[in-house]
Amino acid sequence: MRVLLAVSDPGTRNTIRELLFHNGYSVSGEAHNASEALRICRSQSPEMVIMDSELEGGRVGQVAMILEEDGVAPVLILASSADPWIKDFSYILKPVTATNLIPAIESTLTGYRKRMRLLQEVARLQKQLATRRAVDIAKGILMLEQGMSEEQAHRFLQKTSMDRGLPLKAVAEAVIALSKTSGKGESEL
Amino acid sequence: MKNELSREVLEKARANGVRFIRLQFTDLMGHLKNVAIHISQLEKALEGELMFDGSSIEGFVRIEESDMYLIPDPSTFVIFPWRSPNLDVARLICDVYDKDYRPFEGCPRLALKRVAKEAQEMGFVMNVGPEAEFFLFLQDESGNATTRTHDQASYFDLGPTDLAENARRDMVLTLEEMGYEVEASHHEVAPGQHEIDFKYDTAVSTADKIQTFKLVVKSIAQRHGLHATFMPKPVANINGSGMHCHQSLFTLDGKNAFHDPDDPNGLSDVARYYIGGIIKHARALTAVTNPLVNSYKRLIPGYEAPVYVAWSHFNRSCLIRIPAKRGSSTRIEVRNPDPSCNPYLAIAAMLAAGLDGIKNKIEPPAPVDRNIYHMTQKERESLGIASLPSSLAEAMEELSNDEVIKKALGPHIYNKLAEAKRVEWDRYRCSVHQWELDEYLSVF
Repeated sequence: MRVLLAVSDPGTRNTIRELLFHNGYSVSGEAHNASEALRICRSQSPEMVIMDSELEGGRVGQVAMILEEDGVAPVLILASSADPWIKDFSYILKPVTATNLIPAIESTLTGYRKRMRLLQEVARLQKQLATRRAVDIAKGILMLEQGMSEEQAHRFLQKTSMDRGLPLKAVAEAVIALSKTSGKGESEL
Repeated sequence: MKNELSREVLEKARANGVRFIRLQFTDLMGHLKNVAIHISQLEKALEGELMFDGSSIEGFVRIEESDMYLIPDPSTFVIFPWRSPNLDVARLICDVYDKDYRPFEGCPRLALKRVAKEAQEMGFVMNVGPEAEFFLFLQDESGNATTRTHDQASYFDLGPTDLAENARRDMVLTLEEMGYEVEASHHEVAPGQHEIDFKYDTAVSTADKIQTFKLVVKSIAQRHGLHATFMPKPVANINGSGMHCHQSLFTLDGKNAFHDPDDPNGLSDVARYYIGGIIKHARALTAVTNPLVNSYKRLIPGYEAPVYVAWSHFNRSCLIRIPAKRGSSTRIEVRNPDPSCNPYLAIAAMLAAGLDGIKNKIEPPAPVDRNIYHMTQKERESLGIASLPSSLAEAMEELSNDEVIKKALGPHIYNKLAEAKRVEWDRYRCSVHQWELDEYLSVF
């Protein structure tokens, strides 16, 4: 597994690099400050970022937040005290040893993967919901304006979607837009 | 709720779980300002009942008239697509009204609306398509801007994907999510320089889009450890950043008023007079389209920026180029604006100049299809080709003598701007610059 190591102090960096190496991880990049860590992550996509809470120049929380929000990589913070902001992330307290580092890496990674799967699921459901909503409105319009039954309206949308090679949502939205321009709107339904 | 659009905004905000709305407006210097409100206040805001203290905004009002209303334009409602779980934020762009609900004369967006209305009364709608350039520089360890580009970064920074390309792709995707039609996005001539072009729109909408565009570019850059700047000339000896503005007038029934199929060049009288107006007022309107001390370090020969007041069908050394497309795409490209300008005021100034040309049937000089950079001063003089102002002070002096452009801004905006720019120029004039130290310190 490729790890980005963002630690300012050379001594600590060497210790952690060695620890990682002996436990089967490889350090794919090293950063000396938070901005640099962000840039390296964006261009190298490491599988994990280990960040010292006391990086030169600060901004560790801010950058860790961006990495997690944008789904760039999971972050493990090496903290010297459990400051409130650190509790938003996975962290271990220094000094770093094999006993605290390796399990933390594993659990951070597992947690991150679970979260990513959930986020994908949420995005999928949101998309489905938006389609469902548009289809319902479009069906209503077709029933009211074209005198179709619900089944006919549904079939019409589906068939148009298949025939035109367009997503169902796009067809439904087109029906809604057309109805609006012809002066009969959603509000009448 | 008074109108349909406002009701739709309210529904959309609620349906999407928006929690905060930023009411945005632009100050005289072109800075985007925000007043954030909670969703519970949105209805009140849409009814135009939210006040703010205008005296805290630079160049806005006198203390005694500080209470202002922000009147949101419901057609500008957009939910920010930043992928942030606890920031469900949307925005509305607003016009500023005074406490008696009179349009505030210091609101740049209203100034542009005034000139656009004048165009409409003459039977025209303006379309503008901007081409904004910007630099992506590295942030230092504290997150501050540098002028280093990632091409000069340490080997650690180099990876399988180009950092800046990646950031720019993210910018384009974000803009598209916000409803922009991005037409082109590419690396520019100078190291670290980029351009993103989006589809033209009417004057006010384009100015709105430019302001949001800058916000998106800066925010996304920051999320990539980069600093985006729209400063016109951040580094000497390489190209600066411009914001060429393609523009045309359409008739109210949707025909391109710049096109005339019977003219040998395909240009109508309206187009020619518009060009005549821009050329006549060029030296004054430059104060608005190029408002910084630094803007004039871009307007020098040799870096694809215009220096001379002329127009051409081909070459890019002129102030105005006529792109080859005709029919509904017939347009002119005004090349001096830079992205540090206040887009509302810059578009207002250009449109007012063009309309003045149409009203007074101002014939432009003959087009110049040679590279003016290569002409001698004598040749230029014999062809009657003026130069653009060489400094902010010169441009402001020109503006002070141009009643058409001053009227487009309105007296309030003009006076505030003249004062602010005089102070800016004085501060520049009174500082000792690195160049002077390098040049003189050891010699004298």
